[in-house]
Amino acid sequence: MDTLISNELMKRLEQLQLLARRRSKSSSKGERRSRARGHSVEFADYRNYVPGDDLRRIDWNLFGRLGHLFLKLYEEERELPVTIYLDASESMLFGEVTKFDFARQVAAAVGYVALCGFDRVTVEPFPLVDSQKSLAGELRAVRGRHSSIRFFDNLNQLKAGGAVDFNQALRLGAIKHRDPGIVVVLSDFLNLDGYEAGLKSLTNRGSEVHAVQILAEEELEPSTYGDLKVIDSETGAEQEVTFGKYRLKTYQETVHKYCHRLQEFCQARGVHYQLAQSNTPINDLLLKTMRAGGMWR
Amino acid sequence: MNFLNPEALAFAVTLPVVVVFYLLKRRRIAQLVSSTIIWKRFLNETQANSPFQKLRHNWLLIIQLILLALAVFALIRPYFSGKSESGRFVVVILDVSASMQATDVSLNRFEQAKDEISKMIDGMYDNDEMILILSGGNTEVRQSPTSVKSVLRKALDQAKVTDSPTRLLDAIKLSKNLTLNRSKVEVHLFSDGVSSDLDAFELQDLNLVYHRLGEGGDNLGIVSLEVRSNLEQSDQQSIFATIGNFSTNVMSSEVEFFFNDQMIGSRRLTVGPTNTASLVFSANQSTNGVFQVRLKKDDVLQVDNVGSVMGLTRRNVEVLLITTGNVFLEKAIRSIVDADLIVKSSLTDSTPKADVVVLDSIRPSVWPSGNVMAINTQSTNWFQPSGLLEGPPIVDWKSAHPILRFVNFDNVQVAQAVNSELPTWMSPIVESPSAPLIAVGENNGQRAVWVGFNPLDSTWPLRVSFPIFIANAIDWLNPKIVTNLSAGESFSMRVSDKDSTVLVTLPDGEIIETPTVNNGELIFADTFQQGVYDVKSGTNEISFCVNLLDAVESAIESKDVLELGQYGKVEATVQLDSNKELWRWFAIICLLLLMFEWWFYHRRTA
Repeated sequence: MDTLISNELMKRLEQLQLLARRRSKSSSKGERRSRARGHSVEFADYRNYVPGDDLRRIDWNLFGRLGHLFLKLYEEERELPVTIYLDASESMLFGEVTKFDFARQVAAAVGYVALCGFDRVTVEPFPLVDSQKSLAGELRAVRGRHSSIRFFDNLNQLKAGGAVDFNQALRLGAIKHRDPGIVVVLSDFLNLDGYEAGLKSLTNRGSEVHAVQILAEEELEPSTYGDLKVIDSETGAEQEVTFGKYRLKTYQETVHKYCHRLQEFCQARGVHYQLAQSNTPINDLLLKTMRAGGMWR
Repeated sequence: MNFLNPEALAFAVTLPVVVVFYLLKRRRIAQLVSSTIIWKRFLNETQANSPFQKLRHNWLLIIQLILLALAVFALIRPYFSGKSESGRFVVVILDVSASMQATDVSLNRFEQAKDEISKMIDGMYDNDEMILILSGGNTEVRQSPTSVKSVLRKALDQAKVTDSPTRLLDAIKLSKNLTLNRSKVEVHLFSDGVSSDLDAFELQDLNLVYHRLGEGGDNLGIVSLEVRSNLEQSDQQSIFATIGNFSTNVMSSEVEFFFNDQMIGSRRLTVGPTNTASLVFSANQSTNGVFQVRLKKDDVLQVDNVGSVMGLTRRNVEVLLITTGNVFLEKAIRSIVDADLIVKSSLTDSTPKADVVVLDSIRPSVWPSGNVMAINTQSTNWFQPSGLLEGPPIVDWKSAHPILRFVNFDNVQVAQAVNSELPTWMSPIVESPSAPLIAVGENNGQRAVWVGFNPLDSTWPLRVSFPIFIANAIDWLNPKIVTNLSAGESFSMRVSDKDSTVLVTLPDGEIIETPTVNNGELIFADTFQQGVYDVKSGTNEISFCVNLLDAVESAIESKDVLELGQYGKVEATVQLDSNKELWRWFAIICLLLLMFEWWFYHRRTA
């Protein structure tokens, strides 16, 4: 893939701002409002003067009226950590436009919006093979719009492959990135062991989690009929199935149920859920669906 | 548990076929997918993985339900209630005589008859009853009345054609008796009509349907066969054979003579249309053996082209006379051509080497074991005289008895006779008013002739009846075994070892173990095959021959009309009405439906 996102889309993305319902708890300074008090132009509160306080912060007008010394407190602006968990397993390589490519585009878009907003962006691809460890390191804690080209470049070099333990990968990521922020999980969520434990570990950290489920057209509407022996791309497990057009509806119902169950799980834990099909235009997802879903404005 | 239609078990072969369908490994297309998790959930939802699930609309299910419903519907045997009449009572008489082997029709007449009867069985209604009678030399009810078609078919399959002549009369009489007081009676006769005994039956109101089999054709057959010894040369035998031509053409054939399967000569014989010709063939014979005559003619009936006859070397009967002197008796015995006489004054051996022992006015110290003629013999274990009769008149004699053939007692006077009570196994053949004078009987296979007076005390020796009586008595006391029989006649002989079972080897090689009756008498009646039968009893072996030799049977022209009695006539039917069952069509529809279901199932997965 030459460019993950087009220049036109980049211009549109530059106008967006990531929405964070909660105030940043990051310890690093940034441009996001936080509960911490510090130096900014946003007045927050008063407090009584105690010896040793900076005299420059005393509200002398108030002292004139009340005769007591009060200190003006201002909100501290901190950065917002944005962590993107990118499923790079073998199963993501399916689809006319592969799910992995689609996911990278979404990751690039989210990352670019965050970088434009001076937020700290981290992309965590999983599974992390040895050849990608240095690349993954480059994708951690990227800040500033000026880093976007390198960010895109690194993202573009990621390769998908191998099997993944989804829950374990998210659990490790939650331990690694303690600061709560915005977390975007880009995956197909097709894991034999489920996805619940992994998502729970993210929400337990207080992060605002966005789950984007990306499925290929073939997974939503298979076109191969007959007596099939389907082979799992990650585990190699085989399953014999007789499939025909007459069962397509039943199959689609099964997929729908699966996605719906994931959506319900997300809703119950305050996770924003989006379903995307890998061969659909990404603009629709980014500028309509995700915008409506509260990702940015 | 019984089965009405066990033949239907043949459909059980479809069960392994179904299993084979499931055993066949279906060729599956390998498809790499991102994850099998969706597919597994999909299968779990479509397969019954819980005790109950929501019933889905499925054409396969509907078709299978229809099939099952049809099968169950058939099994409960549905019917419409209404008034039904009693079924027909069908008597089928199948001619199994030799003429039914004629090959003037496809296979032969017998097989064609079986085919027609089989169709008739197929056309029976459920409440019809059928009885199967086989009519050959004997009449046999092969199957008692039944409505079960499988039983009837089995009985029909087991019926075999015989080499015996036709006796249709017994079968028709039997069928008449069987159908008395029954309604809707049909008697179907499957025959070629070749039978000589139908004149003796009046048809009356018997509903007889005659199914004519065969058309007729050229046939040359042996109608009589006999072997006789040359009286002048004891080692010479003459074979007399009569060959009949039962066609309207002049026929000729090579006639071959065999002795113990060795060809001893052949003659060329030409017989005019519907005529007979005789042949005499002389042959030397030193041992007992079988003479066989064969016609080398490929005609429509082969069974009458072979005839076998036992040739026995001549052997004189040995007569042991125990007497104190009776010139009349000696002379009478010596006058018998094939008798060798030995005269002794006393009997000391209980088992003398003689065929017949004659005791004349003596009381033996031991009673001989063989056949005996006891003349004026008193106070034995058999006869206990209670006195003498003076001048008993002869009032009655049984001239029908073989011993008294050509014997007349009109001018015979007896001066004195023994007044004796006879043992129960003896019956008098010449009697005076108060006591029997001559008696005959058979006790445990031992024949005895008892004369209760001394011929020298009568005028009998001077009469011509005396030597005739003696000759008849010697003949009766030395019974000959009949070794040449017609098919269907029973063979009888007395075996020496009373306890042993007798093995009879049939012409086709089958061995039948036959028990003896009445202390060593063999009666063998299963003589429906033509040929040589070997009888083995202990170390003794004897053979006898069975032949068709029936001109009526060889005249194979099948009759269009059966003439029964003086006025009865039954014409042959052309077409047999039969009812065709429809269940097979429904079975075919079921099968087609099943195949459609299979196709439908695969079409949707393709």
